[in-house]
Amino acid sequence: MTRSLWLRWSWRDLRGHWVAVVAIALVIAIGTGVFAGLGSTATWRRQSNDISFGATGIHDLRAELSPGTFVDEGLLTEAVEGLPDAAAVTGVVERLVVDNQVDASTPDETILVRARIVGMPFGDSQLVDDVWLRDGSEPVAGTDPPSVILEAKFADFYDLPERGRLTVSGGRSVDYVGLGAGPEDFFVTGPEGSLFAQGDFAILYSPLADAQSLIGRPGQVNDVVLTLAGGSDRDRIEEQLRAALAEVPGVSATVTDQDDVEAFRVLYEDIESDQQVWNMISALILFAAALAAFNLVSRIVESQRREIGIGMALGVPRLRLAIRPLLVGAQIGVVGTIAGIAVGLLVGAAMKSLFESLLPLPEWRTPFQFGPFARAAALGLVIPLAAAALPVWRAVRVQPIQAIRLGHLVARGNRLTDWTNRVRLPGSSLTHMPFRNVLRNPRRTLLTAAGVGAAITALVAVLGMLDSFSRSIDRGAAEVTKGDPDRVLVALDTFYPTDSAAVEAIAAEESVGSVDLGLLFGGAAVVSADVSEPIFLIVELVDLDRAAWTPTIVDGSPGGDGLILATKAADDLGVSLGDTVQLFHPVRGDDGVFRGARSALTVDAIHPNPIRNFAFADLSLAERFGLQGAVNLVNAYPAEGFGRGDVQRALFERPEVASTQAVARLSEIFDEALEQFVGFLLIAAGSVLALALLIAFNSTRITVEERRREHATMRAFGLPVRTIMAVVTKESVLVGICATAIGLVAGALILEWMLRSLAESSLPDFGITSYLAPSTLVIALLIGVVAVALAPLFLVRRVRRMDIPDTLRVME
Amino acid sequence: MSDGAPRIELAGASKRYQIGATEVTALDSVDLVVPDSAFIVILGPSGSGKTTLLNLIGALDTPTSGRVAVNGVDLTGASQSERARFRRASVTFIFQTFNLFPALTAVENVQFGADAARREDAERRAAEALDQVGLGERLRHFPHQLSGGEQQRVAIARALATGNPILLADEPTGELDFRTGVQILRVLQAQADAGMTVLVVTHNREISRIADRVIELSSGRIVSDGAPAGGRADIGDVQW
Repeated sequence: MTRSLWLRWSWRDLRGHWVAVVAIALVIAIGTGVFAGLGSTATWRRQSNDISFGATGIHDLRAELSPGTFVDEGLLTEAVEGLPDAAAVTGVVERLVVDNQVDASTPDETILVRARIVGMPFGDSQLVDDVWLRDGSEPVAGTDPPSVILEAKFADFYDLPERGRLTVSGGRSVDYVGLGAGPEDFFVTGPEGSLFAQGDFAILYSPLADAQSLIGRPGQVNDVVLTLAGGSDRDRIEEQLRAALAEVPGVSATVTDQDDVEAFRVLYEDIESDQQVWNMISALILFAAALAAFNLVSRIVESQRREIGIGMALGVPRLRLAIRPLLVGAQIGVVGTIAGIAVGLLVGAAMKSLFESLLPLPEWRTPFQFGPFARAAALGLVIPLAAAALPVWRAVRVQPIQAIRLGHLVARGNRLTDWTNRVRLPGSSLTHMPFRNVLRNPRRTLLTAAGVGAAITALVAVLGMLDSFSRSIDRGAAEVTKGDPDRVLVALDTFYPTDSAAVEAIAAEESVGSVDLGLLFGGAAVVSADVSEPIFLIVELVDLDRAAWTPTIVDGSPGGDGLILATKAADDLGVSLGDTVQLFHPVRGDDGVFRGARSALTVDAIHPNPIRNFAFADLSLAERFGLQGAVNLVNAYPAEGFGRGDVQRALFERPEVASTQAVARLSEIFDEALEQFVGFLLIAAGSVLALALLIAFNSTRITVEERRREHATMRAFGLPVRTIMAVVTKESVLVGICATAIGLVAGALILEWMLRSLAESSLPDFGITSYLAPSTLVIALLIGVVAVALAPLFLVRRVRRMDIPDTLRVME
Repeated sequence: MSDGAPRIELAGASKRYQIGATEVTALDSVDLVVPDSAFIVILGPSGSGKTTLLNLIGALDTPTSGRVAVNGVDLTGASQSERARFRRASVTFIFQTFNLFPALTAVENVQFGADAARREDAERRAAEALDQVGLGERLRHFPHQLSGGEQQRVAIARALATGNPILLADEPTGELDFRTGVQILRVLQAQADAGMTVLVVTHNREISRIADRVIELSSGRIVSDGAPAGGRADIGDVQW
């Protein structure tokens, strides 16, 4: 036989099966497209980070003077220029960086948040940590009121326009004339390194002189950043800088390098952990597509088995007989690969758009990634070819007569059908039929269920991530907002005596109904310095007997002289009630200076906040920290007729108040931040949904094709089409139930694994327990059972328009 | 069925197909009347139109022109659902390749016939029908566990379980050896003797010897219609 005959024959096969070829190719396309699209993001992010950090000249070294310390402009530059390796320094910039508060309220919303003013040079002279101007124009020094650039994510969070007026502490107005971000703020973290800070923290980039004027430090700076020539020894220069600054009289400085920049670390480190999540999701989707393709392609090729047998009987070489069915696989592979590239580009475009809105960088590079697409294309070609090869191999291994035999002569049962034969099913033969059909070929049923099940697995895992995060955040929010959600946390700028005028003035504000005084300080807990990693703790001392808000206790009994730890902190430290932890903490001496100390504290109780950093103790423990009679945290409750906004606005003007924060807003910020991540997961969920529906449709279509003689017989006996479709639908429901069960169990297991291995490495401070919301279970059921059950409805026309006599006479 | 109406009546029934630019006439102005129960063989070579005739009588197809009335129902202009209702109540089929449901046991296959015709106590009817065709001991066997002859007897039992008066069999012995074929014919003949109208389509002239009436088709036309030449033979005398 000539090659052209095979090609013509194959072309006719394609025309006969084109719906099947396209539909299965789409399954392959979704699997490989998602694989390629999600696989491209790591390189995009790395390239975009490199270019963006490079373009803004992120510093190699930074020296910050200790809080409250300022020096005259030029002094820090002099120190840098005097370094032994000063020749390696390519850029040096002095800055004034101070924490502040800002009132960005709009007519619709009160926005009173913590802020940071970064005074720095603007224009061509800025070589280090330059501000990327996204919208608007650069500020001009010396205007009245002063002009600044507002950090863009904060503006986006509150939908602020690209120009506007703000008020900073002391009631000074500033005009922001543009939106942008410095490289240290490409990912915004709060003053204590808190994530999701963009709605809670405003950064103002101001010309240095204006910043000095705003905070009353004319001619002074407290920060220096420098870049180094490539190949220079950063560690050595860092040491030199530290030593040089130690020589400056009255100066105590902390020197850090590029790797300590939170945004730099998070944006690079997240690439790997995010990619692991994408890899897992895309692998699941690809696995589902591969399973489905194997099942569907092999079922198509199986229908050519008789023709293979005839060819064998006529003496056609087996290899040549394999060409036609393999060409079916190749056609699916080619169409699937081409469509997969399109799907990959679509997924990539959606991811790019999300990245650009979630992580605004000066430049987003999203070039076509040949590697992931080539791997996806190879898989797209290999999967259907392998799926076609398997039944061909099975067909050519048997004697020709076995391959030629009609279906009713070769039909075989299995142990399951024989076993179920003993089970008397109730109802009519039409009731029995779906069960019997499902059990007749358990391998095929399982393969179909596994294909849909794998898609549901991916969906459950993806949605379960969201559910688990949401639930943990809700748990945390419920904990902090319990009692009075209008509670306002007022952080003081230093420690004040409890009976000081400053504290009394806060309590005396008209909008403040009552206050609870407390203490807040940082510490680090370990079980034993030798064996465990320290956990950073924010320890709040609260009057456990009298305060209006106290932490919920889920285990133990507080009130002793021990700590109340979060469940996650206790788990991570490996301690339980009654155990002792070593707390490294500051102690105020008689001279008022804080020094480091270590105390052994008993774990008295456990609280349910999912953030492990929150620890509590009774206020009576203040003496242990040298803080008896002192306060730096006030819980303020609004008076009758006043809201949290009134309290915040009233306290904004007070000089001793460092920041105010409504606890309800805290949970809203978490919720809003989470909503942004939903977009990423929705891309995966959408792909999975399309895949599950396609698998269900294809599977049902092939089932209807395989059962066409049975359906023709049923119609010959006068059964209405709706009765036949009811039988097909019931069969689909059974497969759907199996698929949903597989998807839910496997999804829950994978969710658990992802949360344990990935979330713990990316978000070690956040205690997330796996949770599947009822809505996720409903979606899984809707896709796994309802959508799969409805797939036969697309095939009603085919059964209705069937040529009954022709179909009944078909000899297979 | 209305009183006095023949069981089967075709008047000028034609069936024409369009294949590309060519019009093919499968049946050409066929007139046929079957008044009551009988064992009728429709004989003819391949392509003579015998299966098309069976399909028109069984309401699996509609005539291009002419009239078809079966069991008192005029099928000429019947809609798809009317024809389905007719098939449920009036006719039943036996196919050359049996067309049993492979996932159902013998008794379930037969029960299907009774269920389709909406008969009461379908399982009992199914067991009785299988007993009638000599398969009372093989109720719980699946088709793949039965021989070809046994499978065809299950198909006959399925047809009988409907309780419908007209049985249409398209080459019912075509897949079977002689001995099994004879067994099947004996069962079919018994149904006609019991009051059913049994129409058997075949190209096997030997089978026509045991019929009450033989209708021979050629090129879509009835070329002869009457009792077999030499009278109805005993089933034991046929051989092929």
